[in-house]
Amino acid sequence: MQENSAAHKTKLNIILIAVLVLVVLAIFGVSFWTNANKVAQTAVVKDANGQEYVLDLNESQTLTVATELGTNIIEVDGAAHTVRVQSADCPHQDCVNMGAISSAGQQIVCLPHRLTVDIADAEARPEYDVVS
Amino acid sequence: MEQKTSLSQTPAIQQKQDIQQASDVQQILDSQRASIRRITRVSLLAAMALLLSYLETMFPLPFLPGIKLGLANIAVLVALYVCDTKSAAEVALVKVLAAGFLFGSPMMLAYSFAGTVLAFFAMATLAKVPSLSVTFISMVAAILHNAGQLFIAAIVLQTPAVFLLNFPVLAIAACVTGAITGVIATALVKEFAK
Repeated sequence: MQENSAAHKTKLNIILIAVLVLVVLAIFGVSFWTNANKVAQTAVVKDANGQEYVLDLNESQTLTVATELGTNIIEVDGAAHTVRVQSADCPHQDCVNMGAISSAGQQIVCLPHRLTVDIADAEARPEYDVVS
Repeated sequence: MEQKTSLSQTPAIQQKQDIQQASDVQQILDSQRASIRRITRVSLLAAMALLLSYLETMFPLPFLPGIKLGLANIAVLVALYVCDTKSAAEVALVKVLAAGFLFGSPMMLAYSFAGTVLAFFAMATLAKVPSLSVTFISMVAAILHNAGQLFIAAIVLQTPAVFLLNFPVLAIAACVTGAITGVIATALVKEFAK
């Protein structure tokens, strides 16, 4: 009887874990599918002060973003159509270690400097045109 | 005659009182022992949480920037199962505050505080449900820890995309890291129960 209930418990937990993993995969799938249909030609950099910079992904360039929180150097590789944080003076270097991103919906975040780099279409978000 | 009876009664009463006193003393000793055991365990687990936080700061996972195993949560889970909710809350508090001030920055502390609070309430609630495994609870906690952190990050950065874009990936990572720490916590809970 006790063995039976232990087996039941194990079975219940395997089902629960499977459901949890499936839900998480479904969320990932929906998010992936939503972004897969988007094509973006620009990287949008937003700094701690809310200042936005739009970088053309087809044009190799570097942008230095300096705020009172710190400095990030962002580099676009026009040939590879990618953007990355080349260097930063933040403690953990997560933004640098994230490497290069290239497809719509991808994002690099530098939490200590409150900086985000998004691959997003500037045309689809007209507010960025004003800044660029 | 009267004196004799009173004399013979006195030791009996005295004995009764002695027994009463002895059992009172025993009760006090027992409760003291229990509270000492609790304090010892909380201290031990808090020290463990701090050490694990330190290890994770010193040796981040290679190739996975920003992802941590969440080893310190093992101590919180063990406290929840071996001691009680209050003890686990104390361990979690030490984990967030001490680790945040020692190895992080005030801003990082705010992120991890939000994650830990959310994860802790989930763990404390789910631990009361019979027949749920430590591993499953650990996975749920890991996912919620990420959700809490990202929620605060999205508010601080004023970009909802921070949550929406990163949560799906981090939730998958949390399933894996939560399962790993859950299995370790299961083994430790068994060890403590011996």
